[in-house]
Amino acid sequence: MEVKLEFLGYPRKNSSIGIRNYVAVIPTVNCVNYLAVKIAVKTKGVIPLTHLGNCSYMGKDKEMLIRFLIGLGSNPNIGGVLVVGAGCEIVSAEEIASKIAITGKPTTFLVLNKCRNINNLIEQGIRITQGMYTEISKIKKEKIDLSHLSVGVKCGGSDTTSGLSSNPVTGKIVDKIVSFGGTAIVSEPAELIGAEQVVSERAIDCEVKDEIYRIILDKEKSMLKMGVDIRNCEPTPGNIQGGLTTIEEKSLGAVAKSGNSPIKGVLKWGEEPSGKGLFLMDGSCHSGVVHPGFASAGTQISIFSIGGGIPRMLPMFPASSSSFQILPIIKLTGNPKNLNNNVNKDYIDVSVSSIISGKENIEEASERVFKFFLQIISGEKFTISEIFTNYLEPMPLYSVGPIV
Amino acid sequence: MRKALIINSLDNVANALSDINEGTLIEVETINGVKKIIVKNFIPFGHKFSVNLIKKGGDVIKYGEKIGKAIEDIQEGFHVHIHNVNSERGRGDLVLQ
Repeated sequence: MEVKLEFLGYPRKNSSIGIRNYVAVIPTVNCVNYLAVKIAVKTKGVIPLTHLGNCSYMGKDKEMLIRFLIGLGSNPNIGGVLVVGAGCEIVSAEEIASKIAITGKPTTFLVLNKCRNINNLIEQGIRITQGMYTEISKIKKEKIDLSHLSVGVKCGGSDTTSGLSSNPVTGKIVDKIVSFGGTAIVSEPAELIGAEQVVSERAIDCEVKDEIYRIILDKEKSMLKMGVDIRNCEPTPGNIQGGLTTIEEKSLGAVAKSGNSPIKGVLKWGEEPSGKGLFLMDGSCHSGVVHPGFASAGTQISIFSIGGGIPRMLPMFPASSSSFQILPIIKLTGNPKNLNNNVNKDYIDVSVSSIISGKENIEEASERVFKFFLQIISGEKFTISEIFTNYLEPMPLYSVGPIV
Repeated sequence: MRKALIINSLDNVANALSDINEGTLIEVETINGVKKIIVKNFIPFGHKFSVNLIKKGGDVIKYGEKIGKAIEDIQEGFHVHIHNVNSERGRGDLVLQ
């Protein structure tokens, strides 16, 4: 069967394309997360992008916080932005809003210490975001080719099935998107320890190859410097229960999710790529941090390859993935045990356990998942992460320290 | 359905694709053709067993790459996991010693 290579998306003024159409309320500091939630809850299509950024950040962390806030607001899935500030924090709501406004989308800001009281700010915020949503809901979806798509890929709860099925399938989707001129981002440098010789071979030049080695080995160097044993953390007890023995084994399975495309460059956490193709992003391995980093880098969607190394009963698991409303997150598994009962069907979007049972090969499963993927990006279907949004957690940020 | 899989012809471990009981005779594809192995421990789904003798201090190979070192001799057909394999990477604890 022929796969259609177009999707329906929301065109933005800066020629980026949203696969969803939200108004975002973005707090500049975690102290005003409450206000963002109070404003957003009143209107359909208005989402609070709460996070844990705060005034203890300095140096590279402060740069990261600023990049993150601007990146979230500039994300193509967002059609309008209200930035909410406290007035006493290390970043300026006005400055963040002015940078987001460069995208051409309606953007404004409110600052608490310039308002009479909390209710006054919330009422203004509701009025502003309702106006914005009314405006952006008029945007007509258009047929778009896949070169406008940017996807982030992540693995979690990894076990042996991850390296054999869900990661290679994710890698095939990455290769397809890249071959159609789109963009893909993979992160989790510490989970490439032991696989650097494999992943770095795909660098487009020596400079990128050195950068790939640098971000992976920097993670290991910090462990050696601090005198800590990776085995207490990587692999996790869940990974070990699932059959993974060492970080090297986990990494060699994890690298499959990035496919076989050449790696064009290395990004800082939350940094938007300068071109199309596959990029490696520095940062954490924690999904709570990885998906927001992707969103800040302009991805419209994540693929989350999940093994059996975690409990299989919570729709928002792992790492409250339903909290990242800015991005649909497709949860993909290759572990047949993930699908043994109805509860687990509420937790996984698509299964490739057929690979483990020998009923499908990686190619066949990838074609099937790709069709599902196209339905999700066109908004014909929604992911579990988009449906179970009644529990929200603020997004954590990556940090390199020092922290005060 | 396959009971076990060797991913790369260089590998010295096979991956169980179902729970495998102790004493089960398993056929796996190796670089030298099909090899019959009697599995010596219960191997849970997703876990590994050795397809030949891995000497103490020898490399454990999966995906054709090193995934760690054997802490002891691991005879053919035995469970290969954290009790007999050590990671060599990210070991700040060894630096302190």
